[in-house]
Amino acid sequence: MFLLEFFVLVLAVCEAMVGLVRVAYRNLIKRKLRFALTVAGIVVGVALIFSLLSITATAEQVARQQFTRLIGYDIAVINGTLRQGRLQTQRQTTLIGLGAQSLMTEDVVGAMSSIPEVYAVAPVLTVRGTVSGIATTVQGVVFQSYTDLVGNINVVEGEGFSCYDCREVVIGKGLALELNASVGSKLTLSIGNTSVEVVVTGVFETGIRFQEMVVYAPLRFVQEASGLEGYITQVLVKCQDPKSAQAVANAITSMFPELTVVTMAASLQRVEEAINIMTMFFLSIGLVALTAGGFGVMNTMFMAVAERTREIGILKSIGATDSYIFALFLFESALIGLVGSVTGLFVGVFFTRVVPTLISLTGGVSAFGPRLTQNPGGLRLVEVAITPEVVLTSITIGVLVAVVAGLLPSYRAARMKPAEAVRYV
Amino acid sequence: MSSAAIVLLKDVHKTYKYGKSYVRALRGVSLEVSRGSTVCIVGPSGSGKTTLLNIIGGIDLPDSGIVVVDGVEVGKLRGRDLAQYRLRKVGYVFQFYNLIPTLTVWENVELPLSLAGVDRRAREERVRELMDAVGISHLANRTPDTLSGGEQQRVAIARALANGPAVVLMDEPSANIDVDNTLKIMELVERLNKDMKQTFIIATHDPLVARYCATIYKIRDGYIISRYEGRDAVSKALMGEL
Repeated sequence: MFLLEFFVLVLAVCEAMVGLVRVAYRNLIKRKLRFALTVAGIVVGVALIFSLLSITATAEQVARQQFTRLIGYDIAVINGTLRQGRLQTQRQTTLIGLGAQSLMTEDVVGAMSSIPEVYAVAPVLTVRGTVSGIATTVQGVVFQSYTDLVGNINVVEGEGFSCYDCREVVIGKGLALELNASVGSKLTLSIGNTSVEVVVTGVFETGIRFQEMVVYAPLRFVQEASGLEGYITQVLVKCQDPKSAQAVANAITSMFPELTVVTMAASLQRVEEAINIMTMFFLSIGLVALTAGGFGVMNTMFMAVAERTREIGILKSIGATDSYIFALFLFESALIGLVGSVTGLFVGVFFTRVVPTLISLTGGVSAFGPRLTQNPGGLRLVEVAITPEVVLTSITIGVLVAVVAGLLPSYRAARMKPAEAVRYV
Repeated sequence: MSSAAIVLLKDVHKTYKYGKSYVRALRGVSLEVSRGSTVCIVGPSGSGKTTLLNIIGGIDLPDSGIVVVDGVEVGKLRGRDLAQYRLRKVGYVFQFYNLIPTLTVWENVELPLSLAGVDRRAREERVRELMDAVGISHLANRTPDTLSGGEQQRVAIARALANGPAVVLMDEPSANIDVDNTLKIMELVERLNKDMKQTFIIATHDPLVARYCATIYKIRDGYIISRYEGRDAVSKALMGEL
């Protein structure tokens, strides 16, 4: 019985709301141009918010993906302090582009491997060098264990090197395109004062151009070429359980207090914090635009209240309550907000998805930069993600701004005295 | 207040402030309206007719005095109670009809019923009945701007009757229509008064309208200066002074 009464009440409320929306809609379309211009203010704001939020949401998504793809390990260990006796000469490290504090001896790898929760450890020696005249980063690794641990090297041509000290390299696709090199090509690799001829055994692809400008070479070979035998710049650690990363990091810190231990969860958190700051920044820009639209709505609603003073008087004279009048005008504001938000959403989608696609289909981005076809590295269009959260946030903000803008005019309408209002001409 | 009186005003005062000056619209007005009667408030422009109707209709409140309509003391009502009073106890037919321009004829008549929360089926039935009664069934889907003055007046009457009010207030019903339409409207009022026992209070300065009233109160400068009861007295009054 109670449920039935409740259902009837809900139906009555819905019906009353439909009636209000209908009246609001008719009043709005009576002045089409003014309605369109007011809506346009909201459209611009919502489109901006939607575009910026979509872009930051996509940036976050891409960053997460890349992070996950790049970072197969749980902990990175680098040397953050100068430790006498662990270095060769300052001159050598300067030549190969390392600060003196970057190096650590290889014996730390064994010590870290002995920590029970550690699953795998990969030493890396990163130095600057050139390949046939092109500046590059050379990473000395034990290819198999490194790729097992990192899991991000997608060799699309040939294969990795299996030796520890041979003169073989795996190069990135970007570099291969720059050098016009492929599997079997012979290149001159220069590290410091040493230049050696190496053979390309594989080409890898990541989809990100700067990552594809890297050369992977056997660890021993890089150590010899750079004159840093026994030294590494980085140790990557994978834990048996990612949840134990912090405990392992603490163990490493207690074993080697001079080393800097970075857990990837913390790094990801920092990236997310940075993106959050960016999101807030963009959101505030969008909100400024939307606020301007909100003032437009307020202006329109004040005008509507002034124009319809007599109508308000009539409604009150025949029994409409203050809350009915308030709701009537607030519904109009909300309707402006809703129409503006939905339209703004479509405009936002157009600018974030359709326009970039159209530009790419025309063969390039000549208006903004080099033509795609002239960019062999491939300017990849990242498809902007449209998430339900962004859609909902944009519409909610748009409607909310319009409703807030409509509060004061609606209140003024509701407070009108019927005797005065009905006399208004 | 006699038992048959549906409207009673006792020593009602109302003063409006316009800038620094004050206008005393009503100065101790007292009157009584019997249930089922048609009463005219007659007087020249600015005599206080509309103010009197507004106070009976709960659109305005008196500064002092007592206003009782169908057992409700109007002067004590505020906010939602006052809105409910306007919705259920009185029906108001304004001088300029005052229909809602964005609503159709049907929706205008339906509006007070919607505000009163009457369910859809009952609403439809009532609107149809009222539109038949005032002869506007064929105008249901028209908007007010497409209607003649007489037609708008009929819609306004139907709207005023929607919630079965104790009293219908009409302000200058002949002000914006020709003689022919005035007669038709007043015949309608007479019929509704007879068939539905509906009480009407009509503010007018038009003798054509006033002759349909059984009681006339003459008002001037905010005072009720005379009262004529019965058709004969009304006729004499109309011939003599109006």
